[in-house]
Amino acid sequence: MMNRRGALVAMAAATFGAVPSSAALVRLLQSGQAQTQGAASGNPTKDPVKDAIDERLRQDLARLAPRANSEEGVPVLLACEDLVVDKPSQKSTVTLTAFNAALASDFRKTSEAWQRIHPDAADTDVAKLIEVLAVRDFANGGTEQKQ
Amino acid sequence: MNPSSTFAERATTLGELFASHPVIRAVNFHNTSRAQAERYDRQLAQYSRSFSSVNQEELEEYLTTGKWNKPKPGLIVSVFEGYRNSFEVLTPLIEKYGFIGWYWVITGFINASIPDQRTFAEHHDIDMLTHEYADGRYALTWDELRQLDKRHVIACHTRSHTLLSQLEPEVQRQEVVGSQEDFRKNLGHPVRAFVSLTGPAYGENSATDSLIDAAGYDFVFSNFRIQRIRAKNSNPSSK
Repeated sequence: MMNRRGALVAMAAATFGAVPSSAALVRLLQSGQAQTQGAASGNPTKDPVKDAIDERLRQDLARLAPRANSEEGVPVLLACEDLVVDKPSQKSTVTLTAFNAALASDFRKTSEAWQRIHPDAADTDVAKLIEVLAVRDFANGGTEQKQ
Repeated sequence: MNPSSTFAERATTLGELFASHPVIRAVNFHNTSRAQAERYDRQLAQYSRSFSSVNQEELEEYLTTGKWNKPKPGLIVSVFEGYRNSFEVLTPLIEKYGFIGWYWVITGFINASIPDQRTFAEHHDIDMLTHEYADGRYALTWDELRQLDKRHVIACHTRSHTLLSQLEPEVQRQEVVGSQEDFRKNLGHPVRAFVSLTGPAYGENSATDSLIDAAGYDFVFSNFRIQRIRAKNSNPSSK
C-alpha cells in the first residue's frame, strides 16, 4: 500500500491543499530531454506543426520548473458541474462558449505533444498539463480561450 | 494497462469534461510570505486587467446556467490552509485589485494553540518554507476570519488536512462534519464550499459523499472541477 507521502506525491500535482511540486516538472523536463528527439534536438518529427507544439510545451515546462509553488499563485482551470440538474432525467440548459471549444482543442493538441515528449507519462501528469494550459491562458489575459 | 495509455485515457476524459462544461479560472495561493509581496502585487495587478471577482452567488449562477454576466471573465482567488500571512500580506492586495478571496480553512490549524501551530503544520502537510513570525502564530485567528467573512468567502478545507479515504468513518466525520461545526460555532453560520486534501471530487467515495451531504455543503471543489451538489434554498441552514 502506498504510504501517505507517496499518495500525496502521486495524487497532488496542481491540487487543492497539497502544494504542487515543481520537482515533478523538473523530472518531466529531464525525462523529456533525455527521451525526445524532437525539433529542439535537431531531429524533428517531419511535421513542423507538431514540432512547434512540442517545442512550446518544452519551453513552458522549463519555465515552470523552478517555481516554488507553495509561495506562488498557481493558475488552474476548473470545469463547472451542476449535479443538481446533471441527471439523466433532466436536460441541462447550461450554455457553452467558444472558450470550451478552444480549450478542448488546445488540450487535445498539448496532451498529444505531452505523450510524444513523455511516452511513459503517468496519469497524474495530466494535472501538470492543465497547469501549463492555465498559465498560457492567464499570461495572455484570458484571450487565448475566451470565456 | 501501460502508463502511456493511462495518461491518454485521463487526458481524454478531462478533455471531454472541459469541452462539455463551463470552465472557470482560479489561482491557488498557499503560504504568502511578506518577502513575496511585490510578486503577488504584480500578479494580481496583471490579473485585474483581464479578470473580475467571483462571489458565491455569481459562481452558483455560472454553475447553473453557464452564463457569465460581467464584462471580464471570472477569477476565483483561492487562499489555502488559513495562514496568518494570507490575512496580513495577500488580503490587502486581493482587495486592492477588487477580487474576492476564497479562504480554504483547516479549522484544526486555526484552533491549534500558538505554541503548537508550527508542529501542527509540519504534521499536516501545511507548507512552512518561510518562518516569518517570531511570536509563533502562523494561523489565522477566528477574529480575522470573521473580518474576512464580511467581504470574502470562507470555505472548508477539513479539520486536519488529511486524506479522507484513509480514515476510519468516525474520524472522517470529524473532518467533514466536525469542521462545519467549527464554522457554525465561530462564524455563526455554516460555510457552503468544501475541498479536501488532494481534492477528490464528489462521487468518488460514497462514504465521503454522505458526510458532505450531512454537513450541508453546496459546492465541492476538486482538482479539475467545481461541483454544485445542492441548491442553496434546499439547505435551510445555509448562510
